Amino acid sequence: MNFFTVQASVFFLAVIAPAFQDIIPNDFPYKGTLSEFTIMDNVVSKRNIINIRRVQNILQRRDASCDYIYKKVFGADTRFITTDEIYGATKFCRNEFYQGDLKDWRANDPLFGDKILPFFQGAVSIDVASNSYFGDIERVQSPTAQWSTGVFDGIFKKYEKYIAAGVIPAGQTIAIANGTDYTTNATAAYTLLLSMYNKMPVMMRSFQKSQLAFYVSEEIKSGYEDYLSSIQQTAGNTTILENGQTALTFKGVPVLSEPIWTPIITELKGAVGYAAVLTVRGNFVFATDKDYGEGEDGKTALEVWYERKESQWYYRLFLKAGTEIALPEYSIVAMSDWD
Amino acid sequence: MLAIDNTNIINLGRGNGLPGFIPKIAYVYDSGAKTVTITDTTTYQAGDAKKKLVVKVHDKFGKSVSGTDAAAINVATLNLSKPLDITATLITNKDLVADGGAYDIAAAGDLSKYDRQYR
Repeated sequence: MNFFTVQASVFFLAVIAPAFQDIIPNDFPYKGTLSEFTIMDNVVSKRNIINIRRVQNILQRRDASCDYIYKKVFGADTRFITTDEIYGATKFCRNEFYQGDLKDWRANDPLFGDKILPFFQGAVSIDVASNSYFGDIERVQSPTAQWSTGVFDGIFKKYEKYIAAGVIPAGQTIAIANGTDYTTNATAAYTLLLSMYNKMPVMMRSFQKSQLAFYVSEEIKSGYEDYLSSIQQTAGNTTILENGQTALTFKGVPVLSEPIWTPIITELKGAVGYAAVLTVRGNFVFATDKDYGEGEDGKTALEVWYERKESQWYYRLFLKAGTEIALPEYSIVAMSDWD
Repeated sequence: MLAIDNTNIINLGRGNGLPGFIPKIAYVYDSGAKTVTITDTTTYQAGDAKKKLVVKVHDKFGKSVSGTDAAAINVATLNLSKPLDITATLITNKDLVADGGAYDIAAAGDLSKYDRQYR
């Protein structure tokens, strides 16, 4: 029997890594802010996060002795990131990935791999993105759920943990009230960004504005864009907002929208909800293990085969995934309330 | 030459060596009422307790329903013409996690093959 298999390291390069790249290939099926994650590809099960905090306050006055005091840098407490083993397995009955795939597959045509990889790239990166932000293994998902949010723990669960533990002070959090609608109330979007900006802790202000970023629901970004347009009209300022401008900044801090946030929050909450985070860029960490696979050689990450007995296509893939926030205290979090 | 290449597991601080944490989850499948009831009789480490037990019941046709051990899980929406599968994730207050499953379930039995880890 023929098998189409992809080794773990190749699977990482072809499917996982592109979803996190700065410039996502044009034909890649998923585009979002996953590129803002710092990716760690060697986390077998648990590893320290390298602290991205700036090192400072290390100079001391010299005396006449030969004794030195070595100062500890990179903070007192280190954070760990852990990964969970996850898998995907599906089967198709009387269904082809694309027309003529059986023929290509039987003939060992290299076209087969080229044509089905985008299928997995899309499916895997959407699920990785939804779980990276909203994943919670304690969540009991509704049977009608469209999004995968229960496979591994995501950023917002970690934020809830750090807020509850006081790592993120209450003064750096904002509860978005139920019924807030940024599509009709553009000023509310501006007010939200402004109050988040003003809640920045004093240490965070030492960063360049370009080193920070707002990650927001699409509606907050478009509301802010509408607000800028309205100000320009009434105040008659020189227009710098060109038609179709997509890159927005708030006082120099880039405003980046994640299109999948609102649909997922709406599904989890049962009503429209939003989220916005102001933090240091690269603060979100995604961990995987590029050598992890299963199968006969223990290295196979993706297998596709056709089972004649049942006339079915089978596919199976394995990966490890986990998320963590490197510096949760350098975050201002605004969230609707969802389960 | 290494008999077992362990270079990849030198950072392995977790795994199945969690003494005192012995997951034991039982199910009862009532085919008449179309419900699955889950009972947790896990042995927890001293001072630890269950935080949440998330259960998924899957049919052989790609559908699944989620629930907990708090109430019977209604499986009427699943296709019951082939045996059901159950997977469960048990999370404790100390963040120990165990994943287990029962495949092709009968009227009653235990989940098995737990993957235990801490995080």
